[in-house]
Amino acid sequence: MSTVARLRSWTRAVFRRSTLERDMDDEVQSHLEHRAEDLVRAGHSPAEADRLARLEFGPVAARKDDMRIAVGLGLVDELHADIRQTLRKLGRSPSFALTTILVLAIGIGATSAIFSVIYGVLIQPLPYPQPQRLIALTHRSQSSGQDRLPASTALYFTYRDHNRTFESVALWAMDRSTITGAGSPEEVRALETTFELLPMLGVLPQAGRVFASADDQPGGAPTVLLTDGYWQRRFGAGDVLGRRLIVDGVPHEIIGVLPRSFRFLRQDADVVLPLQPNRARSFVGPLGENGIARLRPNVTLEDASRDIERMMPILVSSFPPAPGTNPRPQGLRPNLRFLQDAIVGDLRDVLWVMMGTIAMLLVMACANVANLQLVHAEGRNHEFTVQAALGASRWRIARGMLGENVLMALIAGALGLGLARVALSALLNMAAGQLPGALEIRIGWPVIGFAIAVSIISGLLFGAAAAVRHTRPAISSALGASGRSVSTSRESQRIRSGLLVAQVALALVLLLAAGLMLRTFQAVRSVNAGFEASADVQTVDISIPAATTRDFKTVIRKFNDIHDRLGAIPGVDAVGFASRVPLGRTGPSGGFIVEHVTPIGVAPAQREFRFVSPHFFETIGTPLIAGRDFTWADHHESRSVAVISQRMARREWGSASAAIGKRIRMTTAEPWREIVGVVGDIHHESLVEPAPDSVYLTLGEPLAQFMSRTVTFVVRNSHLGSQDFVEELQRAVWSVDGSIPLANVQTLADYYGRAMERTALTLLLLGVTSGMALLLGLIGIYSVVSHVVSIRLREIGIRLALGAQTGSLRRMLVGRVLILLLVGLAIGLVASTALAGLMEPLVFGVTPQDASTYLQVSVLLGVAGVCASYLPALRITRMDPTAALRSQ
Amino acid sequence: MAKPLELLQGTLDMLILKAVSLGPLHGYGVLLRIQQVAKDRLEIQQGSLYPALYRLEHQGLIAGEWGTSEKGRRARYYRLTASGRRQLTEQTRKWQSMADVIAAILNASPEEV
Repeated sequence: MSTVARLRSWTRAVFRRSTLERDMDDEVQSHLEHRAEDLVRAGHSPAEADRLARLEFGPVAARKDDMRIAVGLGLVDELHADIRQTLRKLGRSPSFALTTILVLAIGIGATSAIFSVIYGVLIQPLPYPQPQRLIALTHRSQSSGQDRLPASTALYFTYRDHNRTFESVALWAMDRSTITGAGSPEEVRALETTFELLPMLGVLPQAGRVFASADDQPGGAPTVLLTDGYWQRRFGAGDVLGRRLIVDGVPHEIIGVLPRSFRFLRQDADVVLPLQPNRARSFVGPLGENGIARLRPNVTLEDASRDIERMMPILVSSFPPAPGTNPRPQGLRPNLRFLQDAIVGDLRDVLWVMMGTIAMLLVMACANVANLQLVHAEGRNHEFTVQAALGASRWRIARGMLGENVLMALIAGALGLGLARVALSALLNMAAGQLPGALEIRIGWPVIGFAIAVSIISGLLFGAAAAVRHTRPAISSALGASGRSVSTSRESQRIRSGLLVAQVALALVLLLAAGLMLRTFQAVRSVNAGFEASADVQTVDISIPAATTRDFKTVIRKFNDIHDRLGAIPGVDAVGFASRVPLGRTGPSGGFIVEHVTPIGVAPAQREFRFVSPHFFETIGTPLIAGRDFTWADHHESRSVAVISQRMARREWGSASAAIGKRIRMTTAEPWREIVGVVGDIHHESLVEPAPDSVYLTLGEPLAQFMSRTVTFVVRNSHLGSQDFVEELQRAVWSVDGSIPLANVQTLADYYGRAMERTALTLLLLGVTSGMALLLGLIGIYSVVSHVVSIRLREIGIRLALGAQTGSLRRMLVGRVLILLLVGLAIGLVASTALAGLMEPLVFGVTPQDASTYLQVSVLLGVAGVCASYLPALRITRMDPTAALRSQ
Repeated sequence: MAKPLELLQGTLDMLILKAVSLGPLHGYGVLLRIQQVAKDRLEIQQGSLYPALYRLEHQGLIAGEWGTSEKGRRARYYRLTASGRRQLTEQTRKWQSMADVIAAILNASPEEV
């Protein structure tokens, strides 16, 4: 009676099924033979005995079923039979099953791939404890309208000492540092941070310790943390604690190694250094570092904003203005964001548009399959009617059909996940620079669960129409008609017309989205960036740390020498450098007082400024509008001169030439700078935003020594062979100073490409999606018309026999579809008003309601639709009326 | 001869256990032994014997093995297992006390109530 015995017996029955069946047959046979022998002995004839023995035994098949159930095979057999039956049914129409599965697999695959990105970026929390309490301390300036301003050391001290809503506050900045010592000099990515950051993120070192407050004091003993990647690469994961690493010429003690899992926002750091903010040298004014804070439990973003508003006066009273700057604060207000939102940024809009369009594609795929299903079910009407006549309930028949669909959908889902895997790796390759590195995007359990749910729902969805239509039995009529029915399909005709209209409408919406994106792409392409984004202009970062060259005059000298050496390389046409290249990292900004224009006592507007060398504009192809370029003498002699952008010149003085000789300065304490040149506007930040008012300064500026020990050289060369050329550049740089590494070797075309990336990616995805939608829509139209032709074959035959013109018959068929097409287009146009809102943040140079795009897309879809319906209608031309009459 | 009695629900298993407790039997043999003892007063559906045998084997109360019958034919012989023997004892005891109770009720005279 034990469970073990039953389990053993059941396992044997299931896995040695053939033995069991043979035993059952033999045993029944043995019984019958024994019984017959006894009956013969009792006086019956052998034939009679055989008959009687069988009669006494009863129905053999039923007994054997009972025996199977007795050993626990009941449920197994039923399930097995169901699946076998379904597979057999599908096997009977393989092209139907295959088409259904393929169409669905594409739909489910695309949806799952996009969902995995959405999940990884928007839904999955950041990999830090209680990430919902982490916020980015960003600010808005009322005077300049900038709303993504970072923080500063002065803000850090103010918030740290006076806040009522933060658990902790930290400051961080990304920089590049030079590692010297053993081997060739190397430029690494350095995360500089105050000591609070790592504990705030819950990061524990895999060896050693993280920064303590003492490490973060100005003038404290220099320490450094290694990331796992750099530790492996540079030290082969050896014992490093207590060893010295020479960072920017200063030996730093290695105090710890961060875990492999450590990621910080979009940054991929090699080393982590203490920021060591200096209270004595903190000023109200320039904002350069990034702030991050952890909220106390149950504190909202609004609470924190109010808290910061409260602390602003404390900031102004505790810290002096930057040397000589306007003493009045610039109307700084908090503009806090959750860390996750800050990381995701404007990607959110793209992702939701993607999800929306892909979901529409999935619905289209379902509609398409539902259509197929209706045709298929029509052919099986007889089968369903027989089932109903034999007493199967409506629910039982529907269950059979839906089960079939769900099975197909699940197979499609499995296939779709495979497709999603492929699609995702392609997607991630394309979007490499766009997606925040702190997030993990992969096909994990949430995505698999999503795919299964989508499969089941779509299986039920596309099967619903056919199930409703074909489980309402009209037994006698359907049996009698035996497939020769025209009228029975009227109802499914209506459903299919509805499905067709829906598909046309959805296809229109998707095509519109793609059309708008194409316009946007063209518009962004046609923006004059203000420089020549050429692959002929090589860019390379070079930095000279204070530890090796203390005196900044010598630094300028060295940059000048490197400039001359690079210019001497054969094939090089022009060389220059700047603190930031266009479309690279964001530059600093400051308020510039304009002589005789800016009213006394009013905060001047914020303007972006960059330090540039002579010949920089010439090298990147930016035109000089008026005046002259900088000279090396301007740099070496620290002359008070500036070059400004045309836009700024027009704004302040009306024209470029009027600006020459005018004077500006940042603070009342410094001498006026004379404007010596005006250059064309450059899109420094982004192609889709207007070019900013820009001020260009020389390295002779006192500010430069804090901000510009790292510059990006631009080298225009007409000879190809990139790797050789980079080596030549390296030799030229090392002939000036052998400890200077080259980093971040790219071309200006790369910077431009990255600025285009979001638009290009969106266009590509929408293009592919809408292309698929168009195809699905056309297949839908084609199949509806060809089905109509095939079921009305007899009628058409009669008409032809009576002398109807083939042309008018074709027009009759196409005309019907045309009406459906027009209805679909109308609904699509109405539906796209919802799309307009979604597309608003993505489009540029075109409104989301752009009439010409709407017109073109509608016409395209209409014409394609008519063509798709005309194709099957052509069959009529080749039709022999007698053959048509005899058909079916 | 009176019409044979139909088997009471759930008693077939017990009868089979008893039949094979006297020595291994094949299916037809079980039938013969029960009918022999019952002197044809019991009606047993021959076919229903086999699902019962399979059920008992599934429960580990009897064990089947192929052998050769006294008539020289291949037949599957069932013998009682140890747990089958326990089950038989238990069921016999239950059956007898049940039969006693029912008999007592049916034989009760008015003065006993």
